[in-house]
Order: sequence, then C-alpha cells, then structure tokens
Amino acid sequence: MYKYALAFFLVLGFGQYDYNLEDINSSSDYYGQDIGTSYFSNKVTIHYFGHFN
Amino acid sequence: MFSDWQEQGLPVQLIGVGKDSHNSSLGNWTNNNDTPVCADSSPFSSWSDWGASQRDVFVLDHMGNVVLQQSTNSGIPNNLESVVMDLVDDISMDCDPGMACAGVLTCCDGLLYPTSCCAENCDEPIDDPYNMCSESECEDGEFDNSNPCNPMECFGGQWFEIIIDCQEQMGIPCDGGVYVDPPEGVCCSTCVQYGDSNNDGSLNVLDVVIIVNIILFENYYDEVSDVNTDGLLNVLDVVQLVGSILN
Repeated sequence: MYKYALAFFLVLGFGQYDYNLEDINSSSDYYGQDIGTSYFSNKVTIHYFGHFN
Repeated sequence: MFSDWQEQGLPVQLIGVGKDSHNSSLGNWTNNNDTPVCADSSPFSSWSDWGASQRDVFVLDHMGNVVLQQSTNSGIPNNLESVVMDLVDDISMDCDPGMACAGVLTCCDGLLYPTSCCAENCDEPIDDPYNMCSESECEDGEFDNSNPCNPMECFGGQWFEIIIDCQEQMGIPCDGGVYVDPPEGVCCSTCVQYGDSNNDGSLNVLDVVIIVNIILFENYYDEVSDVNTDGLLNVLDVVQLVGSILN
C-alpha cells in the first residue's frame, strides 16, 4: 500500500508537466529524439502549444 | 528573443508542441528554425495533460515546475523575459548548504573555495592572497631584478614586488659622509665617509693617494674627498685625512 502511495506522489511531482514526443524538426539538434521537460533537466523550458498551420 | 538567449549560452530551451493532424503544415514552424518541434498524436494526451489550448505558452523552471501559463492570442506575455531571467538566476543560485564536503582549499573557475564542493554547498569564494587559483605567471623562486628598485620574486606562480627601503629616501642622514649614487643594478645610494675616496669602507693611504692625484692631475671636485667640506679639494683635505688616519 505504501509503495503505491509513494509512486502516486512521484507521478504527481515529476510527471504532470512532461511529455515524451519525438523531435520532428530536421534542423534541430535533437531531431529524431524523444524529448520533453525532463529531457532538458536543469534548464528553464518554454513550451509553445499550437497548430502548425 | 530566444535566439539571443541561446547566443548568450543561457540554460533556456524552447520547444514547440503541435498536433500530428497538422503535420502537412510543419514547414511553417521548421523552415529556417532549429527549435525542437514535437507533434502530439491523437487523442493528443500531452495537450490534455497540460491543459493546453491553441497558442498557449508554458514556462517551467529547471525543476519542472510551471511558473507561467498564458495564452499568446494577444501576443507574447510582457513579463516573459523577466520571468525567464529570474528562473535562470535561480539555477545559478541552486546549491545545498547541507552538502557534505571535505574541508580542503579547492579552486573552481579560478576562484578559491574552503571546501571540495566549491559553490555547490552555497559557500562563497574566499580571499586568495597567493593567487593559488590563478594561472601561473612564473616559476617559484624566479627573480626579476630588471628594475633594481622594484625587484620581483615569484611565489605561488605569481610575481610579488619586493619593497626596497633606501636610507636616503627614508630621510636617514649620512653623518660624517655623503650619499653616493648606487652602481648599476643596485637601487640604494650608500653613505660614504668623507675621505673614503675609494669607497672601500676604511680610511687609509690609498684614499690619500687618490685625493692627491685628483688635486695634482685630474682637477675635478669629488664631494667624498672634500674631507673638511669647504667646497674645495686642496692640501687641507689631505692634511685632515692624514690626521684622521693617524689618529
């Protein structure tokens, strides 16, 4: 029971504002890699959500 | 704005998150742009997890905490730059005062710290009087006497000036004599007793010979040889010098 509770709070603490999506910009240094907030640890990250069109 | 931050090397990363249903227009974001771009797939769980809407911007600190969430429908948030700069400052201030560190003097980034952790345990750099953390300018023990009044000695890889105190410059009188200019390579003038014409530190027949030669043949004024200090070199100086020697 304790383990489940701990895992729940860990997910809440570290997983809420993260994702794991492939960088599809061929000009990017991270092209083809799965990136997200946690990928850029120890950096300030700015995420822009929008439609490509 | 972001490219400026990148050029400055600031730890800031911009990521674009679209939807793969619009991948046909991906070029609008990627042409002439090296910013990482992701496409969320249906049912767009990343968007929904974040509670994001079209043209929303999220700013997260280096720990992954959301600090700013705002729509850009009316333009980039006015406080975006200040928020980001504050967060960048927080990164550099990130340290743990409780960190266990060895108590040894340690150089980090050219600064001297009291422990092996440097700034990671929130220590401030300490004074480095021997420039232990600076690049070496010389080898220890090396001596530079190119300026005899400002000689330098190497210690700890750095040049240190040696202070020369000259009696004449300190105002110490030269009783019974006169200060004579130093030879080349020496800084201080020396106090020479009147009559000690060869400046060997004693009065003897050699000084008498020199004074007689000056009087008879060389005919110039030598202040040291002017034993009676009357401004003239003549037999009276010789007589007084001989008297001093005999007495």
